[in-house]
Amino acid sequence: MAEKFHGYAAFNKEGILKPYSYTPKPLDDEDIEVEITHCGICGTDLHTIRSPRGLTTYPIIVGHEIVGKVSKKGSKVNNFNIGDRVGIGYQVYSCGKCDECTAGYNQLCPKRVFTINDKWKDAEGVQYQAHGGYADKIRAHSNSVFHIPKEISSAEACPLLCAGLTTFVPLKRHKVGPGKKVGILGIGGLGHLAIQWAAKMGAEVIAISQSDKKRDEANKFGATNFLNASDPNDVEKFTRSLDIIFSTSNGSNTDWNKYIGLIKNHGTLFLLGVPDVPIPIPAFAFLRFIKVEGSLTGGSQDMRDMLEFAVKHNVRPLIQTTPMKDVNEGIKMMHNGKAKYRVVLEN
Amino acid sequence: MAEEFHGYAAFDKEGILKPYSYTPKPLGDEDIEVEISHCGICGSDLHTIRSGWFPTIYPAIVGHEIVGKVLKKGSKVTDFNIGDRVGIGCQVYSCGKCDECNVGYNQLCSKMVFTYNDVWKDAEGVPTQYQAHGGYADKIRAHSDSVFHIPKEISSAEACPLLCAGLTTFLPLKHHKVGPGNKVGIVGIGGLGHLAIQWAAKMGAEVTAISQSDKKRDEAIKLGATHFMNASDPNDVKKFTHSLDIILTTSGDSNTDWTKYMNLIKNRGTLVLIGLPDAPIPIPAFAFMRFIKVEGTLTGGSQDMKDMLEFAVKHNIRPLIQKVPMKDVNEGVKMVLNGKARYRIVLEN
Ligand SMILES: NC(=O)c1ccc[n+]([C@@H]2O[C@H](COP(=O)([O-])OP(=O)(O)OC[C@H]3O[C@@H](n4cnc5c(N)ncnc54)[C@H](OP(=O)(O)O)[C@@H]3O)[C@@H](O)[C@H]2O)c1
Ligand SMILES: [Zn+2]
Ligand SMILES: [Zn+2]
Ligand SMILES: [Zn+2]
Ligand SMILES: [Zn+2]
Repeated sequence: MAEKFHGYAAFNKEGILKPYSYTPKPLDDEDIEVEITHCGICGTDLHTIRSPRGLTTYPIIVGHEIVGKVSKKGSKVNNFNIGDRVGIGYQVYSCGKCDECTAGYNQLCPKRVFTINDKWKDAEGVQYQAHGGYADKIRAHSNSVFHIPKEISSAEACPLLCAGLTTFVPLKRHKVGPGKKVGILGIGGLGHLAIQWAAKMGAEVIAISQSDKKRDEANKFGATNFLNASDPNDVEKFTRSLDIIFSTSNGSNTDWNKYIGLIKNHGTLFLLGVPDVPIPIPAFAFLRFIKVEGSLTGGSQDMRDMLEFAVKHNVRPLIQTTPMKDVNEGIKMMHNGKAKYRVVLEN
Repeated sequence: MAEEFHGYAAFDKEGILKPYSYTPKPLGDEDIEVEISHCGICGSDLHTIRSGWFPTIYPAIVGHEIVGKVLKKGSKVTDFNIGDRVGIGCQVYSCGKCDECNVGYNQLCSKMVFTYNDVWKDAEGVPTQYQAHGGYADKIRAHSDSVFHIPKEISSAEACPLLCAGLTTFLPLKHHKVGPGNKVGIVGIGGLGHLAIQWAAKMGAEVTAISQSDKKRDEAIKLGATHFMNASDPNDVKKFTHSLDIILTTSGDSNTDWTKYMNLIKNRGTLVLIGLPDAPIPIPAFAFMRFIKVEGTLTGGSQDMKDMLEFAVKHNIRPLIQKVPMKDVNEGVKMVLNGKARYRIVLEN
């Protein structure tokens, strides 16, 4: 009988997760099988379950902030041992050889396989659905599996694997550091890590939130200033003062004019949240030489750099853990904005 | 009686231009008065006439591709003589001292005055009663920092489009160090686009001219394009998918299919928006997931203007123009509106 992995899947847009078993891809020479101990709940998971653009294949097991132990490995895997504590992020395969992989952009590899809502193809073209971490096990190519440093607990490692990586990479590429004024828009799973990275990189960090509620916590994360975007005086005070804003907003109901107004001439609006709707950028922003950019997670080397930085500067997410079987509760907390700041499922 | 300048102004969004006279700002110590011989018609003039971007201060005389002769000058102006042939672009004043001016971005100077649809400010930066009016007129006054010598190799009529369309397209190409090995796409073969093709080709890049039909194919190749892409032909669009390093879009049309053009750009490439539609530009998320950067540009600084004119002389770059008498300005505007201009209309006094 074919081997099965067991998890919690969404069967439609309603997004009530129910137990589901599936046949995993065969374990290839360079693959690793991980017995999952923890998995974070990321905004992208909720987005994929809801499938606003109809791109999700149901049933689907989501989850891409996965930590666990190596339970099996292919014959050619020599940098991991059975029992090693490892993590998997948004990607389970990249070829490692193409132009993008060579340039460190494994996430743009034309042969990439995402951890969720994607398909594995074997040499004969047989397809296996890629399922994520709200489950007991997962298989991935060893290029997309990472050692978790002993200093970081398994539960705390989870959010680093997507939220952490996604925020760390563009900050690093934009050489955020002393002398730079950096705005972080949205203090949530991504934002609370972005504030920490930017502060530890030496920048002056302005945390931008929709209310005053998270003011104290933002300062604890290392923000130098706090901007309550609902307070016109605050907005006025910071007009044209920031070099770059990293936005974690998902785009809906976002007053882009307001935030662009905070950016200096020649500055950058960097979109970390993947919006469902195209972002309407007003022409005047471009007349001030403001650039708009975005990104998608990070490459394999970026992941190692990020984990190293987290250890060195003691950057950790704030998390709440929930048993895996209560996954629907965990999702509800995220939906209601109750998560402070990341929910991690525990097997 | 106060001195008056005479031109053709728009009085409302309808945009029929009619004769209009106004009292110019007093000639300051560092100012120059120019007797206008020629003025180009730029897409931005049309946006302004119909209040496309912002409410326009009517009546408004537009026009910011101005060439003429120095008629008067302030006592402190030393680098220009009466009778010199000069040009004025999109701005008539920058302070020359602020952070932006110091880094060559006079067009972002906090005290800047645009050539039209703006108001002159006094030394403290307080708006005066003098409105800034453009080049569809007989005369204009500007600060000497915003006035440029026209090289003798370039005719007055041909110089006009260089002052806005030329400068605007030259700057981002220069800024991105476009050259051999770069694949550059130019969307829209109009006033700006036909110059962008020439700059990029002379800089050594592989240029793909991108147009809405096949009509401009031969001309685009003559201008220096290596490839021509008909954006209405799905096969062509497919052929160029993910193939370009950088695209400059010169379309100012709100119906522009931005997604289509973003698809032509390689991962990590750049989209430079030059034409600015009245409506916000909807940028699809997938573009960012491929690490495409979106940016814009605004004309150029004083040094950029000098560099551009020098490059035009050295590489023999000239706009293709059609001349129309100043009094027929409404005809000229109509030709641009209907996409009939090949590729720039220049008004002649
Ligand atoms: N950023 C700045 O500083 C600056 C400075 C000057 C001007 N501008 C702006 O630049 C724009 C172009 O000015 P222009 O004088 O070059 O105008 P133009 O001569 O009318 O050229 C624009 C060209 O865009 C193409 N086009 C029209 N509709 C389109 C659509 N829906 N999709 C794609 N392409 C389309 C057409 O070329 P094809 O026939 O080849 O398709 C047209 O010839 C205007 O919006 C103007 O305000 C900006
Ligand atoms: Zn995620
Ligand atoms: Zn690859
Ligand atoms: Zn113009
Ligand atoms: Zn200045």
